Amino acid sequence: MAYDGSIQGNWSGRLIDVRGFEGSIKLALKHNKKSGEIKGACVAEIGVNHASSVFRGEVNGKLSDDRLILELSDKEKERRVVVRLDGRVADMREGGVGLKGVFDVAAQKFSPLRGGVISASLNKPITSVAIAPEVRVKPFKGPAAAAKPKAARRSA
Amino acid sequence: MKLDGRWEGKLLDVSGPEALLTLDLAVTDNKIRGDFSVAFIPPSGENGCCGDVPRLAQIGAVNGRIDAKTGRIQLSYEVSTNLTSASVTFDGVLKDADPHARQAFVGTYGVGKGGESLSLEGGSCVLWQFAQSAPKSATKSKGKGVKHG
Repeated sequence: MAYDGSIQGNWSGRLIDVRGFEGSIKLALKHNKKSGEIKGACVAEIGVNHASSVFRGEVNGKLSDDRLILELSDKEKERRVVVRLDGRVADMREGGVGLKGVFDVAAQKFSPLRGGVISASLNKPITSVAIAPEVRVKPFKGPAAAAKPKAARRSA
Repeated sequence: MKLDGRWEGKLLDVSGPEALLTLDLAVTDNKIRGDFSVAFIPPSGENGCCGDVPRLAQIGAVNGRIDAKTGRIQLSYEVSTNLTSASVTFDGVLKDADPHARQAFVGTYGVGKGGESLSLEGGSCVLWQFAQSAPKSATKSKGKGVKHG
């Protein structure tokens, strides 16, 4: 599905790494709509053993349809860390643009990040977060119960 | 990689909410069946600083399948409220998560029509299978949580 809105601007979001670390991410993106190319900068901060590790990088990428591929590379090139994000963008119901995706990490030196997921938003309106009431759906009775004919269940 | 057993993790919605997610899965012939629960984490500070307790919001059955060729896993569940119903579909792959966990499911999820009643818009999620995880019927898993920075 093609996304024809703007993805240019300041994104903010959260990330979780498969190693259990959580953090925040900020992306400042400029989008050349003609070529589809994206350039920008990013700052990711993750908690490691009660201290935080900051990753500052340059961003290069491309948007094709709603698929956003970004490569976040270490700005100082000291750690030679490259984060590759494969995401999708879409307009959100209440306004703003949402980005969800998974990332992989290639690093020549130690990096606390290995790979994980990101959710971020652009121009999200400030609203209170509503939490859904409890919803209970049909309990799972297992494959045996599902396969049982209706008549057999009635007589049981 | 073995998918059966308990999976615990977190989802990050693009619209802001975060929730704890627990799955108990059983796989037969690349078909997945099981139970899920979603508990929303209150926004920080709503109930004071450190007393925020995740609020159980959705429980029920989950179904899915594994693509044997690509390794992709799709899971979905349907939730009915008084007014409407909505489906939530997860799409992801397994990754090595050593030393935090045995393995991790990383992916994204989308919400079908009617999703506004669920407070979810779509986002990403990580689920871990820890070493001590076993099917619910065998033992109750002591879940490790997400490390907070």
